[in-house]
Amino acid sequence: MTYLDAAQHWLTYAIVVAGICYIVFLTVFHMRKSWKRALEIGYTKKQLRKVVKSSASYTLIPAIAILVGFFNLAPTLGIPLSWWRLSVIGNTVYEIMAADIALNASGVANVAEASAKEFVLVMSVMAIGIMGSMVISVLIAKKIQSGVFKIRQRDPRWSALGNSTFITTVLIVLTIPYFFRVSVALLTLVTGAAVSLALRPVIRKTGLAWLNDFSLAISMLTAMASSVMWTSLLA
Amino acid sequence: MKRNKKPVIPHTNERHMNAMHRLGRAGVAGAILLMLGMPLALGLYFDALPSVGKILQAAVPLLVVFVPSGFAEVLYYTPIMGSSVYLALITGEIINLKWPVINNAIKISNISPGTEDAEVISSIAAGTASLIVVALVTACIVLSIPLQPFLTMPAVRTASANVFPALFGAMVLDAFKSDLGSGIRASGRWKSLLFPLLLVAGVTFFDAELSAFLHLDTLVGQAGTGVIMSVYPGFVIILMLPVVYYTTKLLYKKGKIHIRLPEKT
Repeated sequence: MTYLDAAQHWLTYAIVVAGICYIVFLTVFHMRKSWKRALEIGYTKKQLRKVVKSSASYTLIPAIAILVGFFNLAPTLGIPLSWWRLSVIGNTVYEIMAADIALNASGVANVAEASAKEFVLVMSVMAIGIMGSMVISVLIAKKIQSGVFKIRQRDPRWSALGNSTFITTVLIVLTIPYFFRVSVALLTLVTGAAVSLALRPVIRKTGLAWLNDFSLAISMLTAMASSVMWTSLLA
Repeated sequence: MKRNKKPVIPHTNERHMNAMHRLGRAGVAGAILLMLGMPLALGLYFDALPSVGKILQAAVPLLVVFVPSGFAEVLYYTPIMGSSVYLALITGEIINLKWPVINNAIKISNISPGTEDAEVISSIAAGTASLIVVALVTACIVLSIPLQPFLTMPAVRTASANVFPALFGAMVLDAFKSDLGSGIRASGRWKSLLFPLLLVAGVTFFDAELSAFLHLDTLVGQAGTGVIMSVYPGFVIILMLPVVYYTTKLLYKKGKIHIRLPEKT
């Protein structure tokens, strides 16, 4: 059996559908528990629906990049495995890198020459290579969260400030390198920041609450659209 | 967002937190079993099981890079996401999707990260994002023929390739804001960011020299190239977390950053 036969086999589809059902079930169960708890601690259904609506709208923009990734992955992984990999841990770059390493380890140049064994190898390597964070979360996530809550009880002022440092650190480390070269990426970043800055007085003056809920999504969408213009200007 | 009878610092409920961690851990265990069980089942059915040696030969280079970055992810996302970190890790696409979606939900709900409020709101936001992605990818497969021309257009590819800078641009100014959510304000917060900003800028500027000095460039087969900020940002985040945390704490203790909690109602 060839690699592509295995990749498009009915059993591969069946197993992937079962896996996706598990992910959907787990997500819905998780959300249901949190929804109930949110109502218990005083949130209204209207407030929670607002969170769902804003999260859904915000998801649509980065999701375009994920869908583009599907067309990058499908020729190498086939439709069912691409479907599975884009629904669970990982990202397009990782999946392509893992597939490449696995095929190289087998001494195969591309999927057209590969057999079902290589397909199973690719699938195994992709799973094992990325599951470190999941295993680590089981070991330390609860301890970290308990520590955060303890600090909050001891000093609520410092706790609020100290917690903000985690987001800040990630943003500093990931953003600074863009400023070292005039590029489409830098201009896109600056556009996103400028739009988000410009929206603040508009929201304050007009009092449009809905605009506040969608300001991040609007800034990001505008910045992504601007990258097309920057690309043609810098070409 | 104003909650009914909202206390200044929302209380935590240990029973709920324990239940969510149990659910998260069970969910992770199930996901790991599925991820490993799928190739095993297919290998047995196709009579095409690769050798363990071959699997390890290919998986070890990935583990070397992704275990430390996985550790970093758990370290910096858990204080923000709470027990939703398990769901976010299982469903992936954290930095370009779950993190900004959760950040947005926390922002529009006007709550602080690391509280029980943030925990439940994060969970609802991360769940919504996961379900939407699964639905969209499924729809993309069903509609792959009509969608392909649109999703493979050069403009769409360019915009998709710039999703990270667009995201960071939309979020970066929040790092300097004095509003920490829940009506908590931190005046002078920007002072704590100057030293970390300079430090990261320095590492970026001398990336090639530092990569060569630490032999990191040859480790990833890119001799003479700066690889610290492009290949190992997870390590840099791990190293910078205590720098940002303790710089902020020092300035807070010295009274250079003032925190104002909302008045009790």
